[in-house]
Amino acid sequence: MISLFYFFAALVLAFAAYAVLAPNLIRAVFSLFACLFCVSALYVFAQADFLAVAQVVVYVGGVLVVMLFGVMLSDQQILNPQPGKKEKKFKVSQLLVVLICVLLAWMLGYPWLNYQPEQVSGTVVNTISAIGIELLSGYLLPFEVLSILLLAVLIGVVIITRKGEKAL
Amino acid sequence: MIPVMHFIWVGIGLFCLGLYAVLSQKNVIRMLIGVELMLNAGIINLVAFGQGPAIDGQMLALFAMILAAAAAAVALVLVLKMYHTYGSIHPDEPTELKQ
Repeated sequence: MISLFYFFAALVLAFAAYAVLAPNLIRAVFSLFACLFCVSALYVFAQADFLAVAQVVVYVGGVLVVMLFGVMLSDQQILNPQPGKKEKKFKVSQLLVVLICVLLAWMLGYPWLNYQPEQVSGTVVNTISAIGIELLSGYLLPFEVLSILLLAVLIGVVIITRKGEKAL
Repeated sequence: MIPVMHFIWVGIGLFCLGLYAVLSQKNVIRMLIGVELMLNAGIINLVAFGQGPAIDGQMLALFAMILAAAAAAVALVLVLKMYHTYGSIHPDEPTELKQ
């Protein structure tokens, strides 16, 4: 099981690296698609089955489609790599290496990172029913606030994209 | 059960890749891809520490996921508006709030 986890983790990092470094934007977006799919596989290993499904539905089904629309509705030239605009990359990558070193040093110094949650003995945990009960009892207020936020996003997006005299 | 440390390694890798994308790319959509990667790194950490019988970590991850989707929708609409206004989606183009 741990080797399967390593396989998916390697896939996540590989697809993420290609999504960042690919010269073609469409290929980058589809690589992000694959990366998010593999992340949902990692959620299964963390016993979060509902979150794995939500990841596929929300990210892979929603965000990626919106992102492809954004790519296709905007400039056609950006789909191809533009030479001569890479002069700043060297400094940024140096900064990145420094950041990785700082993060690793920070990580290794803290003992709470070795925290391991207690295992539920033997049984398969059904998180879906627990999440449903929690959403409508303990987390009712955030749930409703989130619905209002999504409505606001819907209306705001329509208003911003509107053309004509009343457009923003 | 997978140790939490392994999830943290994946999260660190994703976060650094996303940060690299945000800092180095000259294209707003590519920067958004980086932001999505960083958000996913955070959500992976929430899920990893939220293993076990308690459900709170997963609830927080669920809310974070929905907020990330809403933010992505608004950001891409703003990218579209920026393209209609300035004719490009280079992040250095918009230098004024009002035309």
